[in-house]
Amino acid sequence: MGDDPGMDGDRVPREFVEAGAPASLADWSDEQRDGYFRGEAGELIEGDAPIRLEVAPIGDWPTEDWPTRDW
Amino acid sequence: MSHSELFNAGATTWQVIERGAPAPAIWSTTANAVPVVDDWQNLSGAHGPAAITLRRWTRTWWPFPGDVTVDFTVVVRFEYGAQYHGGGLFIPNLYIEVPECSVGWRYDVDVDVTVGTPENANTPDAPIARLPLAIRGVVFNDFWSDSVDWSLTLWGDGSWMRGA
Repeated sequence: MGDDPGMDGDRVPREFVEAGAPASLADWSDEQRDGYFRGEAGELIEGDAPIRLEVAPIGDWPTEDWPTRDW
Repeated sequence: MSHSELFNAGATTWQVIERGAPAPAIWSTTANAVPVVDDWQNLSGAHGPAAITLRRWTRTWWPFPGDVTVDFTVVVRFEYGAQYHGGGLFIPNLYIEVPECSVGWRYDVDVDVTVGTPENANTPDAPIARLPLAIRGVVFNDFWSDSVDWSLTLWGDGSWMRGA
């Protein structure tokens, strides 16, 4: 699940370091890891409100069983 | 063969988001709910597509309080109201779009869609397609993971609801 923090990913992006984060992920405290890696999820679901159509019966179409007209 | 029974002539499952980016499969994969007849491709009068937008985000507290680290949007589009020989209401086309997908440092997202078995939600002579689908996946990083689970039901008359 994700990259091993002990490999190339142990380095922290510059903007994080400038904001006060330790430059090595291994030096982060548990609280700091929770603050970044745990997060809080949110979601939104919305959709069109289409006109609900009325259904019609499928029309009768000539089949082989239909009687033919006797001209 | 029966116009009162339905089937999905397209795909039943495909990847939507793969390692934090829209999956290539969404550009070419579709599903539908059409009658079990030889000439189902001759359905006519389709409306839409209607759109259902599903958005998910993750907000972190440190080092940038309130920063949105993950933010993605999945749009389900479906045509509806298609008729067979002037009757019934079918779903001739369903597809997925991902207009937005941004993933921060060390985060990843995987999401796929599974389309359920179409059913007739009305009478045999005037069928209305009912099509369930599930969009599921995970938002994860090195230390935490959180599931994504959206279930929808679509109907051929254009209505929809969250849940099965």
